[in-house]
Amino acid sequence: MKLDKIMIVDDSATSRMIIKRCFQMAGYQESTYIEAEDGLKAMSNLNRNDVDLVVTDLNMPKMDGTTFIKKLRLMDKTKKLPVLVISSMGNERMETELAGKGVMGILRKPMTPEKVIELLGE
Amino acid sequence: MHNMSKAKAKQAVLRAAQSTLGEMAFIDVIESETPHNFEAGQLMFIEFYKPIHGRLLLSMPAEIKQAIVENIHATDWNELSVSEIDDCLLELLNVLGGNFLRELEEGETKVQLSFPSVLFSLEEISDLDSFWKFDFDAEGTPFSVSLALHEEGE
Repeated sequence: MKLDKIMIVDDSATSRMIIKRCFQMAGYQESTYIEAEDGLKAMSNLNRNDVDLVVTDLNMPKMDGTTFIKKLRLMDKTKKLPVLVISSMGNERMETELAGKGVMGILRKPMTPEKVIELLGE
Repeated sequence: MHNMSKAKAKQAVLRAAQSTLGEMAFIDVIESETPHNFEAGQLMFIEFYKPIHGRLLLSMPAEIKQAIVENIHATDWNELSVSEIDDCLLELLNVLGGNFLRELEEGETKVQLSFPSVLFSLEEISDLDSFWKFDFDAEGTPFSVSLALHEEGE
């Protein structure tokens, strides 16, 4: 999967760093990474930037991941944007709910490059 | 108190600590016979609401705290800011909490956690006696995870 620009949305700077590192180790060294610490800042950022993939946490202040994804699906520009969810709270029911919102997968924390490769391919 | 046995809870906490510290910071965790002194470590706290209601208290001495943060950041401790260190440790607790609940989870139970926080003193926990304290060893350094479980609606 070709990904020139990847947006990482997570309130933890450490988590954003780990996610970015995992993607780089999974083969996405040349991608540009845009970071946001909550859904609100991510929405504002998406108005100014085109991205190829959004990787988002769920449990965030101001605007959580689920609300953020719902808002993405309401905008023409982002309604078909691929979204990956990174969460420490993943379970089968959540996966089914998020799949209905067009989420391509859930990666459970802690992140590893292998999990990225498994989902996106080499 | 929830009707889960202490032994079951301890196994779930141990497996969660092993996967969290192992995968995030490349640190091996085993059970410890040596009790860890609460006062000697940094205290961090998280509450969870689903599938069960309870609280986790993580206490770690400076050595392991430094090793975890340096391993995760791949950077020398002295080059990191206080906020980077705190954020790193809180994220670790967040993942530990999620992993603990997943160890207990059966089927499609929903999992819900609070935001983790740093405690400045044990006095912030008014009912410390209601916690089970589990002692572990992280490559020679003792640390503890304490757990309080509550009935529905408690």
